[in-house]
Amino acid sequence: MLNLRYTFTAGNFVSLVKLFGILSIILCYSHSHAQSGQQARSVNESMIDSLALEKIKDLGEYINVIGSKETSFSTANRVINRAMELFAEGSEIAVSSVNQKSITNFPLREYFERLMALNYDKVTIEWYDIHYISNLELLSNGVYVGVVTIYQRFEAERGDKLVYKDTTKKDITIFVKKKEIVVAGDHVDFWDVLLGDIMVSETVL
Amino acid sequence: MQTNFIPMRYRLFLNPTPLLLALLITMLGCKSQQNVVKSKDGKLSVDKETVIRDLNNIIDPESELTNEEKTALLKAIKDHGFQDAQVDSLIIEAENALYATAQNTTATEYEEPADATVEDEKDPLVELEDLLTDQFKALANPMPAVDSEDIISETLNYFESNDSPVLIILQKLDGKTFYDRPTTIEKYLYYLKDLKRESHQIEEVNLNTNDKINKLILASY
Repeated sequence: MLNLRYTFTAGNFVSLVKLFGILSIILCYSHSHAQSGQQARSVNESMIDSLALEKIKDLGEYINVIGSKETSFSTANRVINRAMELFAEGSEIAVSSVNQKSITNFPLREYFERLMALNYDKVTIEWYDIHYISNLELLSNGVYVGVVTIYQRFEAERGDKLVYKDTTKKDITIFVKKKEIVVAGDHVDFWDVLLGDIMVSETVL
Repeated sequence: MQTNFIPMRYRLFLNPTPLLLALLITMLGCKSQQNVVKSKDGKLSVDKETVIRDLNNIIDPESELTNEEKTALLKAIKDHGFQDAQVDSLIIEAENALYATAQNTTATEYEEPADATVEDEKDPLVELEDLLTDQFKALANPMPAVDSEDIISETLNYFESNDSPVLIILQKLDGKTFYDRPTTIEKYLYYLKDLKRESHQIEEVNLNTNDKINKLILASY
């Protein structure tokens, strides 16, 4: 009759130790591998996060330059062209006012040209508290998409008198895609950040 | 002055103590008698031939004497005070020779820093990078008296064209290089001017055969 009772022998003990050792090695390897993979991804993502925020800060500065009455016509036009390059084609910008309840969407160039032509003596536009409300997420088509919120403080003066001011909370969609281009005979992989529509989520005095 | 350069025949007269002189004359014996003579008025002196030979030795550019030795020897001869036209003429010639040597030495010494400068001279590419860095900084931090447009025009002259590509490295990770969207040098310069942004570090400057920049690589880290 077969004896099914488990007898603990020295040989069994050695086998158990070996098994435990192998399992430990496998667990450690898989854990460290997973960690390094996660780290590489997070480094990559943090890089494009920063890049996208830089582009938004650039846009905020461009808008300030375009709106400023100290900016020459030629400079404003050049800056408009640079600002346009930050956006995906067909993007729109929503505009609100504390005096009107409606929100109007403008094509980019029209928005910039209206901003340049505002009938004030001095215009100051400042963007602040720029942060992600929706982190960049990789879609199946290889494009990262996220949403950044900014606060825009707008102040307009006639003479020395402040005649209008508001603060607008705006949401900006961001698209980031890895692209390749040949530059001076070399293949260059680059991250292309494009801004999408700018929506108004709140306007206050 | 280091008197050990001066031959004994002249050193004797630097501090002519009679006792020492007498002792030395005795010790010098026959050999020294060829150089040291007694003049008509009874004073001890070095003979004219020896002085002339020594002066010619000073004048001779291929002499084994060093400049210091020559200078010391000439001083000793002059201090000795010969009253002789030929010696006086040779002294002048010796002085001129030493002066010319000193001038050459000075010229060489003067040139040395220039040589050192050549050694320290920067690589032209590094100089170009420094210049570009300065121009970029000048655009980002404009001075009231300086026209940014002039800086841009001046900087563009270093490039093959206004559309020469500018690549900005975002990060190097696992052997891969990640760039921002490529731009052109003209756009980059206006970017610095319009937004007053701190410029990126210059990573690489590529020149064409005419030494014009045809690709500029910057780094944002």
